[in-house]
Amino acid sequence: MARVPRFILGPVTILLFAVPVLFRGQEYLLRLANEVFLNVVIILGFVVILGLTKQFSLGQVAFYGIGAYTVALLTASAGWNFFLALPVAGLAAGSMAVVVGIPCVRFEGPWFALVTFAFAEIARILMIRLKEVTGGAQGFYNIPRPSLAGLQLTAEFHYFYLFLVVAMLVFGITVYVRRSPLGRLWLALGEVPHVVAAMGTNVALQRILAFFAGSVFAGLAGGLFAGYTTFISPDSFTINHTIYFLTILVVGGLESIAGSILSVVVFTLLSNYLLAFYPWDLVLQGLIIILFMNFLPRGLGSLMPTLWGFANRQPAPADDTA
Amino acid sequence: MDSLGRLCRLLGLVVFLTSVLVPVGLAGAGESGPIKFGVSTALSGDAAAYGKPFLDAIKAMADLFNEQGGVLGRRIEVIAYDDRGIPDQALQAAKKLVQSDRVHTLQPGSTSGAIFTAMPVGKEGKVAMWGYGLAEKWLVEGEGAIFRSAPPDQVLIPALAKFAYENKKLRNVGILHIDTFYGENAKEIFSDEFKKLGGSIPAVTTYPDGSRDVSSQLLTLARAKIDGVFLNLQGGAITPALRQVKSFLPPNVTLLHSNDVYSQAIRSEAGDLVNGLYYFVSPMIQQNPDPEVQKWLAEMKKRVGYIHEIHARAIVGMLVMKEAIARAGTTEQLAVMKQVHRMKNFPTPLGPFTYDPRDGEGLKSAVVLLAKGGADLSKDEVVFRATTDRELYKQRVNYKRFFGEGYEKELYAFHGVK
Amino acid sequence: MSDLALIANQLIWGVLVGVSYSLLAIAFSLIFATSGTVNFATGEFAMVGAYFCYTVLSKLTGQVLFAVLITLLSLFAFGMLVERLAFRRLYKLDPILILIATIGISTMLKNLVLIIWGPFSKSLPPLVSADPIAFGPIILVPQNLVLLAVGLATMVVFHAFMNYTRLGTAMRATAQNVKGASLVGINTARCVNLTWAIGSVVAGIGGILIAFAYNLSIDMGGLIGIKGFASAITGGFGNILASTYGGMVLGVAENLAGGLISFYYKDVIAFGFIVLILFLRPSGLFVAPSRVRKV
Repeated sequence: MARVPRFILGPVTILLFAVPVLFRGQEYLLRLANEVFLNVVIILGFVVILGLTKQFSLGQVAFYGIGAYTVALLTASAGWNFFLALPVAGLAAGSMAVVVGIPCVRFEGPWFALVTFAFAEIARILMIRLKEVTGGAQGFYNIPRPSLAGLQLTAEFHYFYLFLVVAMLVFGITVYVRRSPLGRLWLALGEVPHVVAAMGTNVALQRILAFFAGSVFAGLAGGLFAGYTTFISPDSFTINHTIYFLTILVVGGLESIAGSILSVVVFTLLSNYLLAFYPWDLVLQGLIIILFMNFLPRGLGSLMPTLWGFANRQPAPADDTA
Repeated sequence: MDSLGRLCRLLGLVVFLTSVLVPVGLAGAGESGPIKFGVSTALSGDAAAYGKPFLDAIKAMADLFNEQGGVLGRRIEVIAYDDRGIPDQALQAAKKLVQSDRVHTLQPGSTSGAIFTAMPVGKEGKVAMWGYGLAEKWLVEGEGAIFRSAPPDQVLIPALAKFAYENKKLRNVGILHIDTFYGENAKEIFSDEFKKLGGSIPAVTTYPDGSRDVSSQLLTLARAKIDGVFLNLQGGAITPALRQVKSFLPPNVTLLHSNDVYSQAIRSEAGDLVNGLYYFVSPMIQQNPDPEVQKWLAEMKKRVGYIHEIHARAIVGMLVMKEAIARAGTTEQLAVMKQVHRMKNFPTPLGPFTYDPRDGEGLKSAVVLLAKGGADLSKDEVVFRATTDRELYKQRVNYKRFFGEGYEKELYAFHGVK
Repeated sequence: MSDLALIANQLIWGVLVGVSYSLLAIAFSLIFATSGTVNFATGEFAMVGAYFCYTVLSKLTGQVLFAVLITLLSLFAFGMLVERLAFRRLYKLDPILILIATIGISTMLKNLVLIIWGPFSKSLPPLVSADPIAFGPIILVPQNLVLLAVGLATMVVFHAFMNYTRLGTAMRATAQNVKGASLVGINTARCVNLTWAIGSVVAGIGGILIAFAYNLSIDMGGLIGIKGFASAITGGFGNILASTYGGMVLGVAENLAGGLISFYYKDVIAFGFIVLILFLRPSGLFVAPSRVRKV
């Protein structure tokens, strides 16, 4: 049985929880951290789907959107509490992934990319068309801020704790899975699907499971986003967002959890600081992808044998059950 | 565990470095040093066609003010970020401006979605705000902390509808609009007004943002027996669509358009294709003999080198904001906005700015032009003018949260409205 | 306007846009067939072609034919350069990674064009009189007919090149079987490089046609790219002739549906089409179905 990463209970956790206290009043820093946590949740979804099982989904942004609109509808229209709506949002996104996944899982690389992209575009068009439900192109506004037992989240540091908790949860699950036999199976599935199929595994089922998991993460992130900005619109769920996350993934290393997280931190900081350098920052983004593909295709994660080893470490073979 | 330990140390290092590298806002929005005007607008992407001229005009105004000695004896500094016309970027930009750069005033975004996402940042950040791309809801949601530096679509578009019905005697007008918030809004305002006057809207068609092919839409409209069509096209779609209009719509259909055709870039591209179009525009145009207007047109031509309708909105916003700060004697959010609320007949190139506390609007004049000059805007002819002082929206601005209980009553009394 | 007139008008329009889709589909399939790469930047190549043409026409010469020639030569070199610098090393990698690299190229191109040419859309000077000619309810635009002719001519020339010249045959051999081709002495690396060059030219022509029919803008690549890709899939991805037909099918279907059913879903219909083809006949409409690997 795989072990839950111990550091979750360790000093780094304490440090992270202490950040808002240590950096009291520095709103911008906390806001950057919030963006990092949100992006971490999304990127881990990508790692599971694109990194482990190598399913090239260009449609993740649709699940992100489904999560966001689910939270918006449940909290604003149906009066649910945000903390109940959030897991439902994740599940809604995941369910949609299963619905899309079942017919599409038979497709190989570029075709899977195309159908998932088509799905994402159709979803976005529906977000615009279904005006009564989603607010249409005008967007969905006045999403209530999350509140628990009378305490409402308004300041950056309130959100900091919420995002931190969710990010750590997702991180923990991802590492747990990655280091478990299931994770190894998925990795093998991505590398040599024929071999895995020959061993009797139901490849399609595993792919759908991975797709489900990664999309749940996307849905959770979407829900958090809705509660954070209190306004969502179809403009936030376009192919450009997908491209941004693909860049982050590529730089971090598709299968590398640690690399991806580091990549998220780097890109979040860069994108906020390069805000003044439109549109060169986008040129840079494209260039980075090309350079990494040519010179470092396995991403930053491969440069950090330690981190790579940590997140992807397997328990001793004796624990193995096939 | 060795690797665990190293990971912990690495993460700790990351957190530490992050806090050190992030330039922490030390001085804060203080009472000395330059007055920072924060601007978040579209500088790339489709919406850049409006965002860039907007920023150019803002910078020109800041230069002008600084030449005249600044405000409260302090220089004005413009800090601008690209929001690409999309909400998440606008949020990023607004947070950076308010939380990191500590600006004193904020223009929170170029498109409506962007503004609506970014506006709460300014509200919570205690920064006075202004903008032009606001729809009605946003101004009301602003709770008095933001003002609009242009006549709203609720004033401009009904002027066109009125002109179409009363002057051109149109009775059945079809609509083709862009599939965005802006287009939807325009369609609703035009339809409501035109139907109120007694006309009908037999067909409404849309095209997705980025598309250039409106053949199906035009054929649908052609089949609907219309005597006029209201085109709400934007940017790169205008020229190809107008070309297709000439192909697919019968020549007796009167063409009405939004103010997007009052732009040198569009006119240079479209040339004579625009001739015959009737369009609404705000009053700062070359054909307006008002000396205030002519003065500002010359100023922009001198400083920025070209003409664009958006300039007017930048000029008004900067003028009003500067005046409000000067009258308040401080950059504090509430004091500044209170001065804005009290403005009566403050001269601007878009007409005298008189704040109406019921709907939050300060400018309520519109003009309709007939395009005649092809690529030369100055040859277009004024065919209709409209000014109103009626209350524009169903909902009223609620000042309670920011300005206190009795404020609304006092303000209404000041302006002589109920 | 009667239903019949509507159909006729949309049919004509559909054929014109179909030609530009076909050209992009050819570019997609060509590059895929020889190098196994799905080039998501094909739309941006078309955009680059359009912008090159615009600059040459406005800065160098007013002669359209000459300007187009210069543009095509530049595109040829451009394609060779891109393949050599960005993709030469990538063929041994996972196809997903190569795909992502093409996405990177597309982002770079789009934003470089934005930086160099600015955000405003631009129009090319008209080739012939822009006034439409009406045959009863049927509307013909002379310029569009010229563009249609040019597009069809390009396709014919291209097919002739591929089938009747040595170089074309060598490229087809490389497309069918890289190892076999090199065994018979074909310089496959050079063939692949040439594929990218020719693919850029073909895509560029598609972009120039679009630019004359509509106008140029930064985002033009995205829309025609996806339509081109969809056309190739509809026809038969990797099969150049099939892709050509696929473009016409998509163009006509999309416009007929847009006119008869609803303009609303014109672009969605295109996507729906793709999904339908992939599910029902994944090899493409014009390619014999083979067993699709289940894993």
